[in-house]
Amino acid sequence: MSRAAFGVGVLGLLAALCVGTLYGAAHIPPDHVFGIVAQRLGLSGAGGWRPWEAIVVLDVRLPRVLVGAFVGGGLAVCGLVMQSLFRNSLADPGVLGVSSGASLGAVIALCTNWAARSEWALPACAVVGAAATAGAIYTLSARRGHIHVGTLLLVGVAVGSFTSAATSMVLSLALANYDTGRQIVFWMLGGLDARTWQHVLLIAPPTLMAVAIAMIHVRDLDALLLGEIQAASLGVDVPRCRWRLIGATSLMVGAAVAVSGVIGFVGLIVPHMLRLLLGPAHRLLLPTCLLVGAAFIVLADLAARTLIAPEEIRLGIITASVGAPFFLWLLLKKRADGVI
Amino acid sequence: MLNGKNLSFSYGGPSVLDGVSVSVSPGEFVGLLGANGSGKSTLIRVLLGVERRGAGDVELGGASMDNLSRREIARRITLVPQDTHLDFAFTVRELVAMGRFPHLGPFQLETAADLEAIARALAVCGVEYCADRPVTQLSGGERQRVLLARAVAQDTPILLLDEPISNQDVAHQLTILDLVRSQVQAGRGALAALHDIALAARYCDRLVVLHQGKVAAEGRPDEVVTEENLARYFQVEALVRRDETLGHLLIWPISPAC
Repeated sequence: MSRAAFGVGVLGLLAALCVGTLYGAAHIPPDHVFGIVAQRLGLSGAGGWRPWEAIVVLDVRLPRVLVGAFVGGGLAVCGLVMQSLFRNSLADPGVLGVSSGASLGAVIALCTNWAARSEWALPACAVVGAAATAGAIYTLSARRGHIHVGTLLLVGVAVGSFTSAATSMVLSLALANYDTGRQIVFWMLGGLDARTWQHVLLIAPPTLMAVAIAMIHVRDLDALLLGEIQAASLGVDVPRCRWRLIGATSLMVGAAVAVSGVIGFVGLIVPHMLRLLLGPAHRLLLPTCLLVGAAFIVLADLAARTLIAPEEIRLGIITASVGAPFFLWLLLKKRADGVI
Repeated sequence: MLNGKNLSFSYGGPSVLDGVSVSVSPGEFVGLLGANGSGKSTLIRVLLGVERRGAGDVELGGASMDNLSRREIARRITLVPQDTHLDFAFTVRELVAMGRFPHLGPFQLETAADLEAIARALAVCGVEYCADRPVTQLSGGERQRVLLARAVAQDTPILLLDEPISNQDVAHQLTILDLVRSQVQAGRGALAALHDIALAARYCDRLVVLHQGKVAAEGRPDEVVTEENLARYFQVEALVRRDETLGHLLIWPISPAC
């Protein structure tokens, strides 16, 4: 069961990556797509495709699919880590207020036109926003080096509400200018359109780092599910482990918001669903989350750009409309089971 | 061997522990008694190194805890917590295998020796039959034995137990204390916070009574469990008799002493 699930995850992600690159609003024959990728990798010579087809595959679809994979996989892993740190299977990267901090930074960049002057301005502002929010939240909730998880969650909710209010404020001011307002609203809906290789470079390192740190702590995450005292009695340095994991996930979430806006529910659904299937042990759950989260976003984005082509549905709408009903179902099921 | 010297601790208000010294030798079963709020749980947290801000020193096998890493501490001492509800459906085997975590590096797989320690712990505590079931489906008594099995698999010289029998029916109380006793006979030291004075007197080699954060009485069970001490430290008027047939102390609580 366990190895099989991992294998299915690997194959699923590979299939999703292929399908995401093969299909899109523009029709390009599959043999051309494979030929273009093979030529780029130096595996074969030029074929009979047109130059625009190569541009679409190499500079539009591939970076978009890869950004989607990194964002989806990273958010799913971050969601899993949050759920384990807070021992609450309804937690997700949004709960620490980090996403809304990143949004605020990004919206400020859009509104002040910095984003128009340099393509690095928006990501930089988003990461700064995420880091500043995370820093504020942890400083406010830490007491003599100990973090009380309940306090952390409450402070996260409070700071998150504050940054959301600030974002709305900036947005309402920006709406006076139709173009800027429209751009901000569109960005806030979350999406992967017009992603470039630059975005891939921006999202890959924080994602890989967060996943690597989480993998180092797979056993600690298992132990943390039992609570602080039992984790400590099993040899986990709880404060250090928490700081590391929270730091890594904050950076990852900030980078994800920077490249794709706020994409909800991946961090919630994917870990939760896989935990129901595979059990709570992280050694298997964590890598599987990475694979399935990545495949999920690549496929959701494929739906976003092909369902009503040539128009696009925003990716955030797709994930939320799959995620929200799932979340409700989970909640009702838990209530039926008498858990809440 | 565990040696807590002159431990004091407060959560920011009045002191919860005030100069407590307690030790446990290999092959010794020490009972920690005291009314609610006397500081038993806090003492266990301090001895485990979870609370490290207080005064005093804890020595584990001759080394001061301040010089040991969290993992090194977890190879010398561990906790059997009170049976707690678990939301996450680990299997029994997975939970017991966690006892090997402090012996393994981040990416290291369990060795044959680790697997054998896990299997032995499952067998010793009589939970082999449910090894592949999720812990969420077990009864309280089974879960408590699983938690004990994890500590057995962890193979630490010292075991701390925080009210391991408080939520158990009579048969499970005896089963669990027998298991602890057999671990002690195998050479480990155990310190258990207990509410049942009669069972503590029967199973433990030595009793320590905490009262208002201090060690109020300490010694062999028949020295410690007296009618005067029960009135003074547990606020209960009780009769204490020795039954020669059983060889146990029998305790009848009569009424709360004011």
